Amino acid sequence: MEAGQHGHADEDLISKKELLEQTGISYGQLYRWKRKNLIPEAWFIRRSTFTGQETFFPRQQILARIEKIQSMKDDLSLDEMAAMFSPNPARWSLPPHELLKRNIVTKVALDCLNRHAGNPPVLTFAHILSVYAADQALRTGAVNLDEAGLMIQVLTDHYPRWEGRACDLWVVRKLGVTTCCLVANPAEVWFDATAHVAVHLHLAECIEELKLKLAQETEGET
Amino acid sequence: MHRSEAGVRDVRIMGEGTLGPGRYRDVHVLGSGVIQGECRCRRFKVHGEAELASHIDADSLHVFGTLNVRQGMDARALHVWGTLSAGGDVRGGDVRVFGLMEVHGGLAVDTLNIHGVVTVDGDCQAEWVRCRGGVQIEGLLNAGTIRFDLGGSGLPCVVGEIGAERLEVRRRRDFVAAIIHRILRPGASNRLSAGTIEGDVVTLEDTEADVVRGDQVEIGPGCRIRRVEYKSVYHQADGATVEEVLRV
Repeated sequence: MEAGQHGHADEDLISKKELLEQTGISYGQLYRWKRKNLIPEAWFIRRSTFTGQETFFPRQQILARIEKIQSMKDDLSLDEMAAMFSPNPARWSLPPHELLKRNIVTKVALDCLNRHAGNPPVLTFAHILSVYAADQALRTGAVNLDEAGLMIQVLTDHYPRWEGRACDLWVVRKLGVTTCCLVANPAEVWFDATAHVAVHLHLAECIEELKLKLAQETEGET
Repeated sequence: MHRSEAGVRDVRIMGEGTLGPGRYRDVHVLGSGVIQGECRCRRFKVHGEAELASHIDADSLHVFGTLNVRQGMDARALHVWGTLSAGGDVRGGDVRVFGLMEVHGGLAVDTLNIHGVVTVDGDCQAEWVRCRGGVQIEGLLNAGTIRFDLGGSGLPCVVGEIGAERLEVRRRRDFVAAIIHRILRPGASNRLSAGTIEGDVVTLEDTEADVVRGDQVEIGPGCRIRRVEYKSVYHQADGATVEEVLRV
C-alpha cells in the first residue's frame, strides 16, 4: 500500500527543467516568485537523481499556479498576488445575500450555514469559506445536506486553530456513518479498507479560488 | 515597524545594566547591557556588548561592539561593524556588514552589502547582494542581482546553492586587491564555491561548482565546473575547466 502510494506520488511530480521548458519561464522568474512567496516553500521537493540533487514540484499545483501568475501579472503587483495566494485569509466579510447575488454559493449551502450559525447578519471569512467548501462538495454530489452541515460545523469551529496554515478537509464514511476531520499539512493519512473517502479538499486551494472570486466580483462592481 | 509602535523613552546603558522587555525610542548600550525580553525601538546602538534574551524589532540597528540576540530580529537598517550573532531568523531592509554577522536561522533582506563575513545556517534571500568579503550560506542564496568581488579579502565564499536573475563573480584586479593578495595573504583562498548555480545571466570567474544552469552563461578564468547547461549563449575562457557542456 505504502509503496503504491509513493509510486503514485512520483508520477505527479515535474522536474524544474521540465517545468521551465513547458511554461517558458526562466530561472530568474522562478526564483523571484519564490522570494515573493508566490510559490510555497513546501512545493520545492529535493530528490537525488543520477545527475545529482534535483528539484521537483507537484505537477498539477505548480502548473496551475504558474498559469495564474502569468495571467494576473499584468494587472496585479507581485505583492498583491502573494496576498492572494497566501493561506492567511484576508479580512473579508459580507452579508449573506451578497454571496447569493454574486453567485459564489448556492441557497442550499447557505441554509446549511444558517442552521448551524443561526442566521448571522454578516458573514466572516470563516463563514464564507466553510459555506463555499460545503457548496463545492454539494455541487459534485459527494455529500448530502447533513454532511454539508457537518463540514460547515467543523470548519467554523476549528477555524482559529488552522487559520494561516495549509490544511486538508476529509469527509469519510464507514458503515453508513459519516465523520469529518481537518488535517494540518504536510501529513499523510491512511484509512482502513472499508472506509470510503467522500471528500478530500485542499483548503489552501479552496481559499485561493474563493479570494479570486471575491476579488473579481469586487473589481467588477467598482 | 511603524513609528507609533516604538515607545517614547530613551535608554542609555553605561557601565553594566539590565533592561526589561518593552517599547523604547532610542536604546544605546555603551558598557555591557542585558535586555531581558522582547524589545521594540526606533534606534538601537551597541558600542560595548549587549545580550538580548528574545526578539528585537528596530528601525535602525547599529552594532559597533558585540550583540548577541537569542531569537530572531527585524531591522529596517542593519549595520554591523563589530559582531552580531542571531539565534533565529533575521529580516531586514538595508543590511551592511563590515564585521561579522552570524545568523543561525534564515536571512531575508532587501539589500545585502558584505565587506566583512556573513554566515547563515538556513537560506538567504535578497533583492540585491554585493559581496567583497566572505560568506558561508548553508542553504540557498536567492537574489535578484548578486555580485561577488573575489580576491580582495582572502576570505572564502561558500554557498550551498545560488538562484538569481543575474549573477556576476569577478576577481578583483585593482591595486589594493593585488597588495592584499600578493603580499599580505599570499596563500589565502579567495574563491567562490557552490553546489548548484542557476540564473538567467551568469558570469563566473574563480568559481567552483557542480552544476551551472542558465540562459546566458559565461565561464571565465579560474573556474572549475563539472557540468554547464545553457539555453541561448555560452562562452568559455581559456583558463577554465568545464567537464561537460550541454545546450538545452
